[in-house]
Amino acid sequence: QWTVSDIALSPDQQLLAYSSLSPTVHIVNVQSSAKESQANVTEIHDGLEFSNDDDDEYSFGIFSVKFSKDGQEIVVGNSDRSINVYDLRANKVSVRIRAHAADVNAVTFADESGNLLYSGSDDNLCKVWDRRCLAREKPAGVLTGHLDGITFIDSRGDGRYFISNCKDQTIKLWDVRKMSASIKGRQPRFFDWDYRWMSFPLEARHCKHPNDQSLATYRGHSVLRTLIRCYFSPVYSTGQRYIYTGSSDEYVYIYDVVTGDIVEKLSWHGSIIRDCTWHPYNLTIVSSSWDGYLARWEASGDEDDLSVLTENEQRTSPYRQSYTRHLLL
Amino acid sequence: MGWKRKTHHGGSCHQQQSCPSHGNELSAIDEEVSHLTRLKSEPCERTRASLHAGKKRHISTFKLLSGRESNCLGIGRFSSADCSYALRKHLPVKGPWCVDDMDSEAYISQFSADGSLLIG
Repeated sequence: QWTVSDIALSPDQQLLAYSSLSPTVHIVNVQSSAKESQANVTEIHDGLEFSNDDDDEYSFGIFSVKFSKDGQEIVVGNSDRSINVYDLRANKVSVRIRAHAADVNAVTFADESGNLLYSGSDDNLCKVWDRRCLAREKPAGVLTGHLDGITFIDSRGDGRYFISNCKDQTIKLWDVRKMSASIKGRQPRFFDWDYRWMSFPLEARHCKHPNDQSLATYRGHSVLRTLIRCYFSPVYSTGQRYIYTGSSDEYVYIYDVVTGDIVEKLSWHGSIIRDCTWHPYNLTIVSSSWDGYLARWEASGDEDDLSVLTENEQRTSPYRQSYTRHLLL
Repeated sequence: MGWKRKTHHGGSCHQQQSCPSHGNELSAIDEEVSHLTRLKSEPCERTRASLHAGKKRHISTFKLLSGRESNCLGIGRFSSADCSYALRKHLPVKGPWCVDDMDSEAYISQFSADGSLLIG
């Protein structure tokens, strides 16, 4: 019915949770599912209900789903400005936090313990939550610096550093020890635009936040129309040296964490690249695009390999292709 | 006989300002995260010293391999940081190959934690 907004795989790889623009997260057993989607129709997809029973009238969408490292909890960020934690053993929502002043587009566990959460929102703020002291729904800390809504957050995994992607066309690197207890000064509003159907205003490219608490800013990619995702590269093969991100200008960008340089741009896709993933051990990246392709990039390969995707196979939309086929028939 | 690796004790990290347009923002980068990242992705000072490579000089893969063969680290193999450094020249940028060709937009692609599954 609606777009799948996020997926999460449990640490033991038995369960796949996926969310959509509704208050329910669905869970399916990965090991028993066939690859073809029609088999999924017959699978039992358990629903985890996140809305309040009291308020049947109100409904919200979920933008972010994550399993805890022990696989016992699921945390979600939703369009009701809230973070919810679902306890899978108790089969109910155990934590509800009215976290932000706008949609919570990203939420993730900070480290292995599951005590710390990072959240990012369309209110331009990243917040740190300590579940051991959630007094009066106040965050452990706030990080200011972004000029527009946050689209994604990825933790370095050490409970200390994370990166956020933002509609102000930047990725920022944060140290949670630099967070402040409250927001200093008034939140700046430099420009008025909607990233879903407008290009980023030129005069906004050089604006800076007066209270920027970030360690570093990475520029060059484009964040338009959808919640584009960025990640640290894997520990095993790169020592987390890089940040890689999808982009609405149809490239995968790879930045060097230390220098801020754009190290590589992966170019083939014909439409927005919303998500990409770097294999934890092998030298492989897979990118997913609105052109309908999942594409695989490798560190080595024969230049004459005939199975490589060519420009002839490029397209901007899977629908345009289907439509053309109908006309030909 | 236990081998002890010398660790970096608070020496300064020299920032590489090879991208002037980002200089203002990156000159403020925290020493610690830069240092931590270098520790996990660049050869240690002992390796550099044994290969006669200065602090900022690029070390070729050949030199890394010859250093390993002469056992300059004392452990007879690459450290994980050495591996990461050697792989700097081998990022996954070739291709692409087709994993799937769908009749709708692809919103998500994620590997599982052990890399055995791809969800998209």
